[in-house]
Amino acid sequence: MNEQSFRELYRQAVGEPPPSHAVGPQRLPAADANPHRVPRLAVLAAGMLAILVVAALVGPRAWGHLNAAPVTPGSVASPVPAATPATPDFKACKLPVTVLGSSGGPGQAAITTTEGGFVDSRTGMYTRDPAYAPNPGTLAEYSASLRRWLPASHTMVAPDQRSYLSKKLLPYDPYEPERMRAVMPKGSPAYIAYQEKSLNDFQGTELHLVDVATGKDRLLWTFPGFIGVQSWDGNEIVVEASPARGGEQTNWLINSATGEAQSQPLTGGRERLVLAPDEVTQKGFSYQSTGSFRYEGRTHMLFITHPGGQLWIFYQTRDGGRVTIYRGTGSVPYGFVWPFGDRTGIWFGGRSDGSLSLTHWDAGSGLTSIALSGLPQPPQGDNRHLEVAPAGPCI
Amino acid sequence: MELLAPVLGQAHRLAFAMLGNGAEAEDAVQEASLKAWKAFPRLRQGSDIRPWFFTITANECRQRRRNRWWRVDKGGDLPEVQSPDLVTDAAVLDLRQSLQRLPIDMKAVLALRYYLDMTFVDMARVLECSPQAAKSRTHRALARLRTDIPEDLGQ
Repeated sequence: MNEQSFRELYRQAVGEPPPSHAVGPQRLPAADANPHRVPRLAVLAAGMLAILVVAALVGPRAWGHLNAAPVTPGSVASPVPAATPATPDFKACKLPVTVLGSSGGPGQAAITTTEGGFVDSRTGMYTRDPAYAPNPGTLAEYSASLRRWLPASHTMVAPDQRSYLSKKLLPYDPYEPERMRAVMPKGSPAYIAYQEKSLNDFQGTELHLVDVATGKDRLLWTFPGFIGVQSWDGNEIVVEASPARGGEQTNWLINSATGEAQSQPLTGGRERLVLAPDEVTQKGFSYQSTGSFRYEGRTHMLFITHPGGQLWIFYQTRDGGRVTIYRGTGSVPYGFVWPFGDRTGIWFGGRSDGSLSLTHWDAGSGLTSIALSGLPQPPQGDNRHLEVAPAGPCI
Repeated sequence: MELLAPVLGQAHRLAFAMLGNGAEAEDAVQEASLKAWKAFPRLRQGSDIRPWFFTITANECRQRRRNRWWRVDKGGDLPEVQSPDLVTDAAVLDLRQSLQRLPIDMKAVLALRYYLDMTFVDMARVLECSPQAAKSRTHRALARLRTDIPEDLGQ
């Protein structure tokens, strides 16, 4: 197939966009446009994007490296012996949070700040924890049982928070963003050449399991391509894998104890909602999956839909059932971000372009909002933005 | 802002190819327009607005894909899934499915090359890389599709 034939095939596959209302200058903002019309998440995403930009520049494998920093046993507090604490009162506990600040206009490198601390759920007061020290480009999660921050994002942390996953790229970890940027400015010939060489040499990814208390690192699984951890429930780790040199994406179920891996059928993703019969036939029925979280021992997906003009936010249980978190005519424009489940219920974060508050949900109490105070200022610049994300179980 | 008018249509095509949904593409272009409007004072006089605006649009699309939460903000106008029913050509359906599995950055590269008919030099300006790197990225995206398409893709 020559390039022109492919172009024609490609265009048929993509199709033509429907007529747009956005392409006329009349839809562009006036000079005195309400700044609140500005995209709600624009700058947070810019902040996260700044983190992601590194990955975007060098490819998805960069994330593996960013998550791959080993524990330095001497750099963390002494572990506390395991215990099963009583379930805390969600109205009187301290919730670990990550605070993400960002500023910057389009086309600019965003300025980002990341810190962590605890929010007193009685008062909403935030207190920074100097011990929060994530690796560049990733977030940290607080282990309630071990009383320390883990340098890994939520899906990479074991349900009991006593171990976490890291990825190592083969044949070598070429992407060390901070160091690379210091010696090779973005876009420089040296940077591009290095990036290209690294991509060409890439062979696969190792998945490692790190024991938090001892720092012991164990090779769990190796795949000749890119991998992404989707969930970790019990000892079942679900990994999405893409071959390094092209080919079908596959899902794998990996036993965290033994490293045994089984290929899984592509299910269409946990993001797929199990539709009721009337929804299947309902023209125009639409929904969005908006994020996953671990709650009551399983990873669930949160969904939003608008039946009959209502706002309905729920999560889907493994058997296809639905647990409603909010359903009504009210507008909840900025809630339900960064879900995190713990024994008290489900926590949601907040954003400065919406409501800087935490929201708690449990089946008995419903929704409770906690206004935040004592937060840091976002970095100076255009489009300043602050986001607060739950980062561990309330203690 | 009328400066943007000539490129909005193409930006919409780029967003549509990346996001696969007309309503969401429209939203992305609107937001990109807003960002461009705010950034106009920083655009160097005499600069080519086309690659500059396409970069903003592509970034907006990436942002939306990478942070699903953005879509929670949206009101009752949730996008519908594109219906593939009108197309019966197996090769087209295969390619469509393969495209859906591609990472968003690869979708952008293919859209610039095969939907907007850009040269590698123009692509490089949007992607903020060298023309050689733009070419490499195109070939890499094609390589990802290759297993789904029986014949060799033209280079």
